Amino acid sequence: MTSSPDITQLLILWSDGNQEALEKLLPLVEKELRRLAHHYILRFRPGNTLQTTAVINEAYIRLVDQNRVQWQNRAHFFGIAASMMRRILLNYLRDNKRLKRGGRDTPISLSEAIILSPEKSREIIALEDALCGLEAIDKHKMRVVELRYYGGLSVEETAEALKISTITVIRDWNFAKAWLAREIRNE
Amino acid sequence: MSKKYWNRIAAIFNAALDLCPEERNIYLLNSCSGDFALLSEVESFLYAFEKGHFFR
Repeated sequence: MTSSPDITQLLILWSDGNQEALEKLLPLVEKELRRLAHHYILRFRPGNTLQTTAVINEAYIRLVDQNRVQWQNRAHFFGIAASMMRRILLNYLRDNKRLKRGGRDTPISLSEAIILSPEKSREIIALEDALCGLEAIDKHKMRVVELRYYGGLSVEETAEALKISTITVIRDWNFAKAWLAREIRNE
Repeated sequence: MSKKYWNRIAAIFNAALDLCPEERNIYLLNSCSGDFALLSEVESFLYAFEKGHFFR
């Protein structure tokens, strides 16, 4: 396990409102998430889904010195990592789909080591389409879903990451869940 | 769907979730006050929330 003091410091600074720290933090977190996601994909058994929460958790443990941070810092870290993981998972699914159709002009990539079950792929892509629809109507509720679903954050952590009350998180989450269930059923 | 309408559905939906079935029906009829399009919209959200399998 390695932890970079720079990243911990950047996370603390950003949690205190320093936007410059966030700009430095984003690429570092994204790089680690991509690297770990690759590892997870290699370790997969066929049919499994990339566990975005597990990847973020491992990145957090590797990058951040646990002794120097508070739970709020963790919520902020997971807050930025959740949307990155959503993107990484989606790219991976799209690659997978493209490869299955046989369209390839690049060398074999690591993501070919695993074939996601078609059912699970469809579920995630249906969710993605519905989430894009939600983003167009209510970006705020989309973020709540992103943090809860892809980031695995608790209600309290989501409230901290988005700077809203826990009751608002609960209401947004319930309404978004209903809306997504409705959209996905209608497809 | 306008943002205002969306927020109104969300507000009625969330208030209804806190109520027991009998209270809920009365609340829905009162808060939608004869607007049956709104009523059926809110009911479809409540139905999806209870039957939806996507998140647990």
